[in-house]
Amino acid sequence: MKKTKNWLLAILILPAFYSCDDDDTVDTSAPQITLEDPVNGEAVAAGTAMDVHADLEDDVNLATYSITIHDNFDGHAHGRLLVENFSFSESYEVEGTDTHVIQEVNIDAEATAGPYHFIMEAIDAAGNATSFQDDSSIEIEIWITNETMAHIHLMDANDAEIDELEGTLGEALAIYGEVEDESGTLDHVLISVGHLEEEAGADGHDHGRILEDNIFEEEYEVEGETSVLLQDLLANESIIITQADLDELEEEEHLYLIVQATDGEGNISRNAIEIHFD
Amino acid sequence: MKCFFWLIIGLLASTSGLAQLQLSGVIYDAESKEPLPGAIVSIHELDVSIVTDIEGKFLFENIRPATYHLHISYMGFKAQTMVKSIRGQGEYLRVYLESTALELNEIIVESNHYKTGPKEQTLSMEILDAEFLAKNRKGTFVNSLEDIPGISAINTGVGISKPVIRGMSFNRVIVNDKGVKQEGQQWGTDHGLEIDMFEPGRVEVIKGPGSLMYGSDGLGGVINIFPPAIPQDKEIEGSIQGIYKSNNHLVGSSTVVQGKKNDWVYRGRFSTQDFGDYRVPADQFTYNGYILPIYNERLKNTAGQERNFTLMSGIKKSWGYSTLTLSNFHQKAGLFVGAVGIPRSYQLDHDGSYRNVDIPRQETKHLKVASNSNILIGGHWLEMDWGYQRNQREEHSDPTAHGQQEGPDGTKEHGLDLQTLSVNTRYFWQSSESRTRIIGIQGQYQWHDWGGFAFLLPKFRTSNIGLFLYEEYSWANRFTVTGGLRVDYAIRDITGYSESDDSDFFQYNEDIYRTYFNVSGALGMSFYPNERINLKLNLGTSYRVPSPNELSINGLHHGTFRYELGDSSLGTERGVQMDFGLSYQEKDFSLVVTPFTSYFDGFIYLAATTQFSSDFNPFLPAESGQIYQYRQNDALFAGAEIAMEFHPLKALHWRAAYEYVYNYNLDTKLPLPFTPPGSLYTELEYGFELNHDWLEDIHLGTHAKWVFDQNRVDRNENTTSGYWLLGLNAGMGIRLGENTVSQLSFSAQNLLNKEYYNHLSRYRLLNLPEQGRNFVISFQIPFAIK
Repeated sequence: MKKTKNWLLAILILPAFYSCDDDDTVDTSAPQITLEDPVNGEAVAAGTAMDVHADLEDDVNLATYSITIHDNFDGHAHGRLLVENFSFSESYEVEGTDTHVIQEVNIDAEATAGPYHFIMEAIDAAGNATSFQDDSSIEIEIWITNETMAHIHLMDANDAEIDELEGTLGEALAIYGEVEDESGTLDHVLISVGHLEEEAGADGHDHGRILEDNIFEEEYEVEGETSVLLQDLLANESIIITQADLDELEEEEHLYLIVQATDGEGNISRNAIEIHFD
Repeated sequence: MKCFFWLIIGLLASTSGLAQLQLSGVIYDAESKEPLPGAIVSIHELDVSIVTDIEGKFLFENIRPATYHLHISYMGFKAQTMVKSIRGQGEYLRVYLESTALELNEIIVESNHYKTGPKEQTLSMEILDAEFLAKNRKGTFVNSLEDIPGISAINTGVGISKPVIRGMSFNRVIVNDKGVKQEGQQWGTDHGLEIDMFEPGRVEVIKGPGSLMYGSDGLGGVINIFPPAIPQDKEIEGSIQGIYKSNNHLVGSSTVVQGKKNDWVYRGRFSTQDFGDYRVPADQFTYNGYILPIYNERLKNTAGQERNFTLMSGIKKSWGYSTLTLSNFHQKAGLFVGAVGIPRSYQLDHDGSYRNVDIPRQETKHLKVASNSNILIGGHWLEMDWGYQRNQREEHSDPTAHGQQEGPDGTKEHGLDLQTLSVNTRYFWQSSESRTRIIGIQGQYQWHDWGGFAFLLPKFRTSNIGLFLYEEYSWANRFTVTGGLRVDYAIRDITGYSESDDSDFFQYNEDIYRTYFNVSGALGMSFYPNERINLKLNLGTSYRVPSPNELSINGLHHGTFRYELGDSSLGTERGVQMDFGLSYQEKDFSLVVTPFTSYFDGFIYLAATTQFSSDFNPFLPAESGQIYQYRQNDALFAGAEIAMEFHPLKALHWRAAYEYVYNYNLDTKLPLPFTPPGSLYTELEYGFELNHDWLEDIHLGTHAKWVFDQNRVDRNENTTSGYWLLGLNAGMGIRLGENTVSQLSFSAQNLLNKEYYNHLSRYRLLNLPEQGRNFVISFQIPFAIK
């Protein structure tokens, strides 16, 4: 019996004994990434070099960071893959506790134009990694442009290019413009009115609002055409914005006219301008 | 198999000249000394049982001279197990049963390996009967065991779960179904246990090292699943069970037909489950900095289906019994759309149906043929559990989302095909009523093949052979000592694999051929000075041979959201384990405390590396994350379970159970991953017999579970806050005929519709809460045809 008691004592003490070790400083915190460039929504031309600027911090020692770029074409509900899309994935060694990294990323000259995810992740020397679960890995959207993609011109009634649209509440928006493809043919045009996730603020890209249903969204098949006018596509539509629509928006959010064109080669181009109401 | 039966018949013929004896007796109530009619008397070795007559008498005829284990049980009385050597003139027994209010004591312990009663065993064990399993029926078989102290489950949604015993899971828990070790793909987090939840008739959970008798992998514990007993007096009978769950509109059914004709027994079962997307108490979740929608609070694409069948036939003779069982488990289960890759809001739009199973999904088929025999040879018993299994697992996802073109495999990302042959043979040498020796041999041969558009696990062949000797000796009616020794030899033969195209070449793994030899042993003691007190101590060494995935996996495994890499140089994982059991029992009160501690040399786990997979493997899609590689470190485990049962009134039952596991990686100075948080479970139930015209009995109960915070986590693992859940249950027995009582039960889980996170859930990694409020209605209607 006495022996059993000793065993028992050992059992009870053992965990307590080892738990003391927990106080040892074990590095379990992941690195922090502050991405300065590119910013969310930035356009990058195919065939050029994009400079990535970021601050990497870790409490003990950094080890590796990675840059990944892959297309986000599926995100626009088409999912057709005509050509092999550009993707990029490299990782780089890095040291220290606070490092500013500048990395040149060459965008393939053959890259299909369109929206791409730009992702940056980091691991420290102990293996602690940034994660998507807690938003410490960075993911933004960039738009790659190329020579052959369709061009979208948004204009006023007098054929002058505009960078914002003036509208009146309760009245149909007057939308003019042209989508043209100089080197091939068009496939379809998507016109929508809604809010757009804006560029990253000082707090990273922590907007966290879902792109909910647009006020207006219509897709037009224009296969084989080389040029179409928006006013023709929208001839039978009248897009009316009311005060109620504006009330739905959260602070700092604005309504946009978004025109997205896909050409016969799968290039996606986009032009978005803010809609102003007096 | 045919020649196997001929062999038995040959044996039978060769021994038929032996004398045939009688075993008879009377069962009494120890207090009133009145005979007990309706008590069940079983002979373990022959798998037969009879019910005592109006005078409490029983009679077995045609008994051969040998040593038998008798189990005597009767509702409201403590079950008894006795060892009887029957020679010469046969045996006439007078057995006195003690009354008890504790349900657990009513259950007979008739483990195949440990035949003696609960007090003689040196390892702590939980025995669950069909009634417990029916009452605690949850989404899967494993989830029904979750509230037992020391047991938890790793879940993927609601249809997929795998067992955890004392914080150990994957290849560290052995599940023996009909004596044959279940060999699915138990290394994967999202690979559920392939067991029809309606089929188990009795379950035995051994907490603590089971390597000695069950082989490699038994470090954490062993779950033995036994089929339900075949009735002795009916030629054809059966039952229909039905279940409905409100949360995911699950409809399940199980029909069984079984019987006995002369010496032949048979059983057939067919079970189904069809469920829709399950409901969580949230309409959005946060991931990757986005607030993502959960349409109508139902997790998209978590529906599924299950179709299982079992066919059994066998013979029971005075020389023993032999049965052959064929079963097939088939599950198709959807995975939440965001579970493969990063969830995007556009994927989460409603697809028009809550019951469709789209991609990503997994489809699992598990075919099993098991032969179980117990034969009297030379006055002792030879037990044989042989089996063949084929586990076919397919994981489907969209290849274009992985940056690949859709090829001949379509959406099949992984197709894993594992076949296993198992042979377990044990000879029980009962030299006297107090001394048993078991000599056992265990062999297993496996071969694996794969398909699909992404590589994960190569082709391999493994073989294991183990020999063990186990001794049990009891004396003075208060001590039992057990001890055993085991030697093992294992081969891991893995085929190399590489991939190449015009510009790139990648060697996933080289050919690997490794052999492992191991010696292990255990020593145990049980002390039971009186009916109330029982002290147990078990000390043993255990071991585990690295599994093929630990040696050679190389690929993106969605089950863990990361790139997993094997290490072909891993050695055997060895442990020194110490287990205690202290129990105190009164007629209406029981307290069991089971502390444990163990030290592992070379504990294998997935450790974070400082490397990204994207530029490690050129054939990988972008965005594949950090590499995790299998590594060996020394580790320490400790913990305890405390279980209490109290009946202030005979009709009132109160049970409480506490569990805690502590582990520590001695090299990283961090806890190990996937450690269940401590928890406290309590249930209060009021049940009484009515003996009304049609209402037989009724019970009402409530239960609550407190799960504590889990702040002890491994690197890159998230802490999880605690929560508590409330549940209700009610049930009644409805008399349909003279001998037919159907059961109707109602239960509510997560009654308060709490939004909580389960530390062991795979969807925890996506910040998804667990299943919301769930009402369950189930019934069982028995029928007897002949």
